[in-house]
Amino acid sequence: MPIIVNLDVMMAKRKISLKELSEKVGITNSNLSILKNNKAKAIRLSTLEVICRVLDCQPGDILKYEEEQL
Amino acid sequence: MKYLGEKSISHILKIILGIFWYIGWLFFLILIISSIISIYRYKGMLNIIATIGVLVIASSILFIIFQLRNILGTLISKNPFSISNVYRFRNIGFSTLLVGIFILVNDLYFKGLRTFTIFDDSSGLYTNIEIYIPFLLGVFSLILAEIFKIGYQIHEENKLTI
Repeated sequence: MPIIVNLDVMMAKRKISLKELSEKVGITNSNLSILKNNKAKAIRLSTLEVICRVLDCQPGDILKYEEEQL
Repeated sequence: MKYLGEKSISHILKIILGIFWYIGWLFFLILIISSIISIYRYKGMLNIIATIGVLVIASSILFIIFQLRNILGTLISKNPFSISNVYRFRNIGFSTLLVGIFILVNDLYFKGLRTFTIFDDSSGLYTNIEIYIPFLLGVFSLILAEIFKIGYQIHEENKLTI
């Protein structure tokens, strides 16, 4: 998928662990892991909102569009 | 009245199919023994073909019961939209069509074109539609397999929505 999730980059910048973020965001560790590893098919705006609030960033800092190489 | 989960209609149906499964095996074993005896006693190509036909129909029915029991198991555990159910419905569809073909061949041999007449007898409401039922059920099962495939895709997408 050409949408890349840069959650790990933002987490490294904010020095926050997956467990801590999952607790603060209120979603399970495994679901956050799916999102972090680019396995997610979709993301709810409400989830994105909480992640942005916890990490103090913009949606564009987490999601990136990259041209698919054929 | 519950349709899915423990102590539901699905559960009762699974128990009934379980009884059919074991009785079916018993009949199947008797059928195999009698087929072997029949082939040895009445030699002839037609007898062999008929015996193979009966064995194929019996094993297909057992296979269908087995697949249905597995499907009902997923209904009891409330997880019907799995890829294995798609394959199960597909297997049931093809097996039912196979049974239909064998019944059709048998009926064509014994009844000829009279096989296709729906109202066979003028006395009362006697119909002769059993030849069409396996084909209709087979196609219906194949359609159900596709519906379950769509259900599985939606379920997976929903599962991967964070």
